[in-house]
Amino acid sequence: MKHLCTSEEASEIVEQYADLVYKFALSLSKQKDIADDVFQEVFLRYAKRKPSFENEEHARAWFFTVTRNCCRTHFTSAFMRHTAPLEEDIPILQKEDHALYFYVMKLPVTYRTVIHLFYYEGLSTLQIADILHKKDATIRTQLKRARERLKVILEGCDIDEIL
Amino acid sequence: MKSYKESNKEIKVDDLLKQQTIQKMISSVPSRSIVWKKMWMYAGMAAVLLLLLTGGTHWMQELDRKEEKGTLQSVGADQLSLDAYIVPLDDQNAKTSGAMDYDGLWKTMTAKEQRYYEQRFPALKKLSIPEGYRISASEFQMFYDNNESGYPDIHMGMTTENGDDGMVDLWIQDDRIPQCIVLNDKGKNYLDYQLLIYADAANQSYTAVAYKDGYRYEISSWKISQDAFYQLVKSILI
Repeated sequence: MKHLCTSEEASEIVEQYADLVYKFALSLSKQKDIADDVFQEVFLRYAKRKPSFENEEHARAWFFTVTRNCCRTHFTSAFMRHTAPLEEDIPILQKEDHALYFYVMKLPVTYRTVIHLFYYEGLSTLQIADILHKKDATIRTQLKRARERLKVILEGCDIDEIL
Repeated sequence: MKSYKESNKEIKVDDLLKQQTIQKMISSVPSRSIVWKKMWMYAGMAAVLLLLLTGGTHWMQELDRKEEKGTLQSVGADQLSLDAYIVPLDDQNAKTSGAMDYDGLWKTMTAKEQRYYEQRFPALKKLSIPEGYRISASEFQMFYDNNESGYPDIHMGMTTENGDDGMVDLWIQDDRIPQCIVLNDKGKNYLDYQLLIYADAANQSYTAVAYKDGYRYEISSWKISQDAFYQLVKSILI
């Protein structure tokens, strides 16, 4: 019986992109359990489809897109539509030490997405626009608004500095 | 207070989760149902071809007549209740998954690619939004805030029955809306004239997928009220 992936292939790809997928999924879902599910789903999709990547940037973009799609699919599932949204559940971090992270988690998903891709993954607004299927100007506006919201929460702190 | 980046760096992926994922990737085998699905698809296509050949033009005429009886054409704009076109929840989920399957996302249309498509499809279909479409002043302001170009963030995609890409040139009065996108997910599972409205309340974003006149339309907009979006969809589809 032919399997989708060899052990080496699977280990290599999971090791390489685990952080990218998991942290993005956690940022989008705010729930550890959902991030765990999405994590597995993304790599299973990879194993089933075996996409060929032109370069590293292409591969990263593929993983970002599929992670986002898996999260969206999860949140549009019948179960989620009939379930009240939960508060964020990220037991990995302590709220006291990582207040800013939890403030970001309070933002709408649109803003969380751009904040994560821009400030953590270090993508340009143009790259984010390509991944999110939006215009560069829209991404810049969303970033600006996300910063403004955080600024209100943090009472005038220099957001660029602390992000 | 730690920065967002520092907090993220402290998040580690559980080794057990990694191991479970790797095991699943190794133990997965190509689904038999996919193989069967393909076989049935080929068998179905062969049967349809045979029918077309034997049935001749009479059958085609029947089909054409059937298409012309589409619900969207048989009701006026004022009578159309979009609620009637929201597919049942179970179906909606199935179709939402299809709509969300962005395998073809790499065909995302950027400004650069837009020129390519304009050259590829010289005869663009022009759609004018009739006067029935109105948005409130505050919504219009939101559109302006969101787009430096000053255009509403409305996307229109069009796919022919054969799955070929199409393109829609969308106009509101004399203003052309340039950021139309081409989608090509070739979603063959939708029925004629079926309309799906997918709403993301948190983002105030909506997507409507509909078939009309042999074309698949996908209309999406962001930062818009539900009423305004419904009105937009009505204006375009009627």
